[in-house]
Amino acid sequence: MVFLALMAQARDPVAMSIGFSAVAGVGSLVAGVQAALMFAPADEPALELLLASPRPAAYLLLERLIIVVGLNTLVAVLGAVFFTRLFPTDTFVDQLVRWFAPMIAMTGLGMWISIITRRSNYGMLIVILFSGAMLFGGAYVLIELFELGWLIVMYPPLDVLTPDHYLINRVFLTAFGLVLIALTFWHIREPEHLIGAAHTAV
Amino acid sequence: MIEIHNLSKTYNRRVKALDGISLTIGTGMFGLVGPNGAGKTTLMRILAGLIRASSGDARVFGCDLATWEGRQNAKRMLGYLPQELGLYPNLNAYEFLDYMAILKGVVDKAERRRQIATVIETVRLTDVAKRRLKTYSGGMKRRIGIAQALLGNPRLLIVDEPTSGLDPEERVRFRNLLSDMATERTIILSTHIVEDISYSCSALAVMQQGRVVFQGAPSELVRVARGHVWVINNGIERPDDSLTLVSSLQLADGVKYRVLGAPAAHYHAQPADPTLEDGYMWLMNEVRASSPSSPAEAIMA
Amino acid sequence: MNTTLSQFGGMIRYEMLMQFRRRAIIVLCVFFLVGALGLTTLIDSQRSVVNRIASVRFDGDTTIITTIDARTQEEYEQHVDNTQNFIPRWYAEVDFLVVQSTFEAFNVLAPSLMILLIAIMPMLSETIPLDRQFKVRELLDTMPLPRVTYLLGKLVSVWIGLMIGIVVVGVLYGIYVASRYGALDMWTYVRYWLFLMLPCSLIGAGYAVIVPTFAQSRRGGVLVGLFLIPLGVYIAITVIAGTYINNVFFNRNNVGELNLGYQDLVARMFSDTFTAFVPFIPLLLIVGIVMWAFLRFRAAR
Repeated sequence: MVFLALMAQARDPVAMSIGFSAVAGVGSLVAGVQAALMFAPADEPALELLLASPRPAAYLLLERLIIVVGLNTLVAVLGAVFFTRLFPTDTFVDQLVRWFAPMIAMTGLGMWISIITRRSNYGMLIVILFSGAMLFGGAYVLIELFELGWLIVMYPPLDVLTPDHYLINRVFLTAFGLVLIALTFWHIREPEHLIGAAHTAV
Repeated sequence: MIEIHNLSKTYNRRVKALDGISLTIGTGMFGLVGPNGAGKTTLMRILAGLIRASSGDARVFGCDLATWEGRQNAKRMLGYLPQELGLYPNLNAYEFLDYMAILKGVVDKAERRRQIATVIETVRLTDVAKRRLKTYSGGMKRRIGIAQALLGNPRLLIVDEPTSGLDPEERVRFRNLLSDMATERTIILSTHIVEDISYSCSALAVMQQGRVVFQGAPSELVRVARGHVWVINNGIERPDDSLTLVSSLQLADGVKYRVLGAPAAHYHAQPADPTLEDGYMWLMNEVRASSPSSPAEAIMA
Repeated sequence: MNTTLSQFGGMIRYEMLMQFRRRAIIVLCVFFLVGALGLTTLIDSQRSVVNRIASVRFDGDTTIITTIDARTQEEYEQHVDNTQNFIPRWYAEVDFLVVQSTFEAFNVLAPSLMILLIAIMPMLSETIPLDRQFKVRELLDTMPLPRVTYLLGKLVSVWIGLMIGIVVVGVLYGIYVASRYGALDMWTYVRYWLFLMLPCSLIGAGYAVIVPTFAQSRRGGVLVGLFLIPLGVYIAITVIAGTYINNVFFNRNNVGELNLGYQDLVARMFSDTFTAFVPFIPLLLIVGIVMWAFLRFRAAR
């Protein structure tokens, strides 16, 4: 993040054109990757023991989610303080607002893909590619597909969207992430899905 | 011939898994028994070339396991079934066995096919051989593990808990199979199921805390417990701690206890013929009773 | 030697089979193809607003440039004074639309290559650690399988699988682009894949397979793959930068350059590209040797 901040501080044209925010870009990517690695059935040691215990697996997932979100929030807050000093034009709240919605979206995406595919590397891959696409292609999406693009672009340059559009964008992304997180919890309620019983002998 | 002389293995400079073991294992089935942590798996892993001994000498059919070349040569003659067996879930039985046979050095395709067909038939998995291994039950996976160990016509077979997960019928079949194979090769069998040893092994070693505390024929281990095995019929009170309880059977008119030791007169105990299990338990008692802080003496038959 | 070759061949065959059944390579190639097609679709919108040069011919000191109007699709001619504008001679020697379309496809393939290399790192880094996760590693260690054969077998199997996938993507993408843009300069297109796309992907895959050798599980391997992503990006950027610097369309004021033929420029572009990623090859070799030494060291403990 520090390296990217130095790059932005040098007013790199690419960084400026994509409305670069190190906290939002890197913070949400890291959260998504951590969420993807959090719980993948094929990679979970002692999965059957876990599922056989009286404590629902959802509790374990919730604990891990709280840790991931908590840690990332802490890092984002520290990053926001740091970058606010570096770029006084961006306020502390601005930094966090730009970070929060993509963080939730990437967390939900990483979790859900890992659960559905049962493997963490798929979740991680989707998060990285989606983040990269949004980071480097987001402005292009806004230009070419503005009608719907403004809803899904994660790191929009602040001078492109109106305040109303920006608010709806943030709400949409947050809702997207929350829905995926909810779907993940819904999916793990059935242990048979998690142990891939369809693939194993009775 | 497997020759082991003064073999020791220490992990991380602290945990002494083997302490000066000396054994000679010839053709036939050789049983390895002992409590958890006795060093059986460590010994088998050294013989399988997986780990190196800290000191001492081990040779498998003349191949010195201390050298890389010796280990490679020994592996060419080896069939190994580990306690925790892993399989490739996306391959079916034919594919997995073919892969293992190639890696074992069975170069000729026709010969590989013949061997695979034979071992699959031996473990009775022909009907499911085209299914992927991830669909197999635990017992079926164990049988595939046995099958792969038999590939390559190995001179030395090391099997660690081979019958765990198998139903009684399969266990008996496998035991008989190993017995048949033992006429021409050396088989080292490690198991907690004493019955398997008593029915199939011509010799055995009992290990405890990294040492061999008994080596000889099963009948000799049985003899160790002679005169110390008793049956208490219609027992009302549970035998006290001075006796070792081998089994207790609930009957209509009381409990039947099988114990080791010297029961007091009030138990009205009857002497019984010892089994291999009795011999093993009595030996373990004697080993533990002899000064816990000093090395136990090997009780050689 | 016969055994080693047989083992090597067997490893390649079955590891490739497992790669395809795990669908890692299929997913990779699908991502690659979808990424390329998606980028092409995005860039398509630019083609509809930008005028395109249909042909160029020289008439004494005048260059006649035939241009297609983006909105009306009608052709019109521009007469340009050669003494004031430096237009390369090869423009008149080729079918300009074909060359233009071909290099527009390359503009899409370059970022797609980066996507592919980013995806390769986490997806293929599980290759060796999976043996430990599936608990097959212990079994493999008892086989007379040299570690070099093991590492090379894993690597080459991934390479062959990836090559097949990338060739399929190359063919499909070529068909798509040709159908949208018109004919391509096929020989240049094929060379782009042979000298740029394939070697970059294989080098990246090499690191993804070999570096995580020490990881104990798939998750550990994936984490290592995550840290290898910047290396993949660096490989892509290094090679793409080399390609762009030597792009045939870069206008040069040097008279000698203006007179170079199209094929000469293309050949130079590819040779410089090839030179750009050659340094990564010995580095991969060094990493391979380090991992081989690691495996030997672990076996010697």
